[in-house]
Amino acid sequence: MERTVGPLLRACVCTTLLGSAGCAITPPSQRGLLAQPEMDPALDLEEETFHSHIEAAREAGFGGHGIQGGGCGCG
Amino acid sequence: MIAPLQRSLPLPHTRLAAAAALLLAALFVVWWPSPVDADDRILIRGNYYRERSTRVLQPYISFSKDLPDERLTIGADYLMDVISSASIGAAALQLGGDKVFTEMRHEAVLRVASRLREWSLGSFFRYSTETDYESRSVGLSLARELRQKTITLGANYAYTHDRAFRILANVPGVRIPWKSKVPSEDDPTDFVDGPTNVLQVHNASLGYNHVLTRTLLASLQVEGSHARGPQENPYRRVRNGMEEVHPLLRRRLAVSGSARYAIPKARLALEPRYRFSADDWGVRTHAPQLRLHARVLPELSLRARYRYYIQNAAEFWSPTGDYAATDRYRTADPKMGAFDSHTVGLQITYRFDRLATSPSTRWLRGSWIQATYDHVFVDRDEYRFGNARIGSLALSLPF
Repeated sequence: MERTVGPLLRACVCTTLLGSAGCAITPPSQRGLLAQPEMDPALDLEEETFHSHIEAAREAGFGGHGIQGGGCGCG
Repeated sequence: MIAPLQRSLPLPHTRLAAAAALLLAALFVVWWPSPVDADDRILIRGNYYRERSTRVLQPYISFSKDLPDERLTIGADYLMDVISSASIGAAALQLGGDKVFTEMRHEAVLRVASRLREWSLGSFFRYSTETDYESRSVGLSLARELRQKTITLGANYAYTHDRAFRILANVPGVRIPWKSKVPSEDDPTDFVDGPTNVLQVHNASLGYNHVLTRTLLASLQVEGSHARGPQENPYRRVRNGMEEVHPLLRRRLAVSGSARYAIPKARLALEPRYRFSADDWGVRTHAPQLRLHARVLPELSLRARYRYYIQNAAEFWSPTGDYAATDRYRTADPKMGAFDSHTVGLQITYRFDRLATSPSTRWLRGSWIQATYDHVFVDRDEYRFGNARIGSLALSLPF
């Protein structure tokens, strides 16, 4: 576990720093396309919750849907 | 917790469900006449899940309301799992063969959120109950927008306090606290009850979203989980009849990333995703996924998705299912073994905006209906859950 955590955290930090430092700001007037429903991750929230619950019952993996909880449902 | 033994729904749960539904309906009626100009919304979903030995029907209703605007938003969710499950393995032998049982789980969530300039705050409380499992969760979230709202940094924390029970003699309402087995100090082949039936889970995550160009969004998330307490199924047994014993402690880490890329001329959007997770039970997982969003008509959208999932086995997994009496940990959980799966899915969404042209249909503006179907293929016989069919029908109405 420890051998995996270190490189992953370093990769995340590097990606975050590069992403925030290396990109120009897209002005609000050019964000019309981003307002389309298919570009809005928030619209998938309830579906993500449902998928997270199913994946937790069928797979040993974790994450990728935000924070979840509740009874195990299908253990 | 789904177990292969029958438990019927106790009457108080039915009353709780009815009361929650009435409360939500009352709130809905009270606020319905408000003008359609905010993010106030009610969502009704029906989810369906079926695998080889389990079927789940899940009605779900969610409500959110700004009071009076985004500086204070409240919300409530209620869902019910109706789970029909066939007894399998050792439990089937105890019961004299395969039987189908039905159980219900109720879950209610209260949410409060606030958005103050570039800051967003959120909190929730979740309560879930079923015949032999109770769960309470609280969570906090904090997010801040940066660089003219092109970057969002977020942090989440949630604490879950679960209590596990075991039904005795298949009699509803007769249950005892379920505690993991641990080796006795005198004889390592003799397993005795562990210290507690409480599972405590701490979840934390950091998120980063970035508007990279006028057509490209990207996000990155790191999540960690620390769980201490019983984490096996109290009814499931390994091949030679011994009870499952999982470690009391599980620490997990996941890194996930995704992007959304719009192709305006084709009315398409591509959404690649990837998630890696690892835990100290020795499980490593990879889950790449690709989603394709197509705007067929201004009011009609389609989404296709493909997801590949692969994991290796937990350190204490036995491919043969056999364990010795001296083995510290034992499992018959199919998801502790190595396997891979393929998921394909299709979603269709219709938005009612074009129908909201007259005063009598104006209330439809901003509402949509959505149908989704996913099929999970697993080509491995020892993965006892088998393939899965997942469907949902959702209706979202602003008010």
